[in-house]
Amino acid sequence: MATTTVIPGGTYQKGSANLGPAIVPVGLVFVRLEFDITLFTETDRAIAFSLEISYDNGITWRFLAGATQPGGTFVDDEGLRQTKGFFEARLPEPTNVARQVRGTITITGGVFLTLGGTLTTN
Amino acid sequence: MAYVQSAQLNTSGTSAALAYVSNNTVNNLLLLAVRVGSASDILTSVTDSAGNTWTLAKKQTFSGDHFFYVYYMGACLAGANTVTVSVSSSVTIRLAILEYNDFAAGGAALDQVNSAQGTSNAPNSGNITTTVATELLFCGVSISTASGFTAGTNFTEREEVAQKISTEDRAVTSIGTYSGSWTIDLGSDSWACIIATFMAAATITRVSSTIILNAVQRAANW
Repeated sequence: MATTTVIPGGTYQKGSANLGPAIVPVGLVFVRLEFDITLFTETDRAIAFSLEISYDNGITWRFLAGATQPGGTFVDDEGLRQTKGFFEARLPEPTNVARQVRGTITITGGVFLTLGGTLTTN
Repeated sequence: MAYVQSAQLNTSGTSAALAYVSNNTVNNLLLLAVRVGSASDILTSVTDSAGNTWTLAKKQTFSGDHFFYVYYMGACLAGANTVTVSVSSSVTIRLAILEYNDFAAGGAALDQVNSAQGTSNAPNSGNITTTVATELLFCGVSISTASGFTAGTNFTEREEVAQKISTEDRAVTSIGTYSGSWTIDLGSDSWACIIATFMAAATITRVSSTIILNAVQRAANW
């Protein structure tokens, strides 16, 4: 699987952080963000993602997808506590050479650890 | 009654927002299939940024594992639109949004729904019988363990989300008994399956008019 890392790993502080913009290579169809939630146990914490896409080299932008995850226990489909939260959206127009993505992470309640994000082919 | 566009999102959390790639066209049918990774019914709201009101067509659980929902908006407003799903505790949320056209000026109306749960490699929604000739059959399935899907005969798969959801559709032109079905590529799994059928809303108006006219005629005969 070909992947391109577009979001730097690291610790994001309380408040908003802008991500990108990043050029999306032709053929890549998914953007995935993963974030470490091992220290993310306080219920007064939350992380919100907002992702936008441009089809014209960043001249115009359109909202693509977003999600919010609060602190506290996150369980997967099997009822097991997970150490990584995730956010994965499909990127339209895979043959468009002028695609870019950018995003915003908004942290409330405290420091948050993230593992960064990737663009993937499938 | 034709497919226009769709999008998908796979996330964890308490809310998930997903935009249509292109602007919606007025009076088109909007559909949402969403799998919530909770054994409890914790979906609290479905809203969109265009101001449409979404209605639950059917929900189905696979007991003790997850809930699966199909929502619809029969005659949407025009413009850019983002659909937001909210749940009451942090879980996995997998969703697909779709748009269909050619329902005429009044948009689409829900006709029949059915659902089922089971454990096998062949999910099936159970039968429905359509009430008018021209309808859109929309079907969704959600499973417990990730796998690819093969759509049922005469159906077209539209979205496959994280190998946990598949949606398929079929436009039919004759009244009949139908069901939604798939093959789970990796074999037997636990599944929840829903079928919802849609017809032109104008069809309902014509039926109602006929009933009223008949009633008037009978009254006159008396």
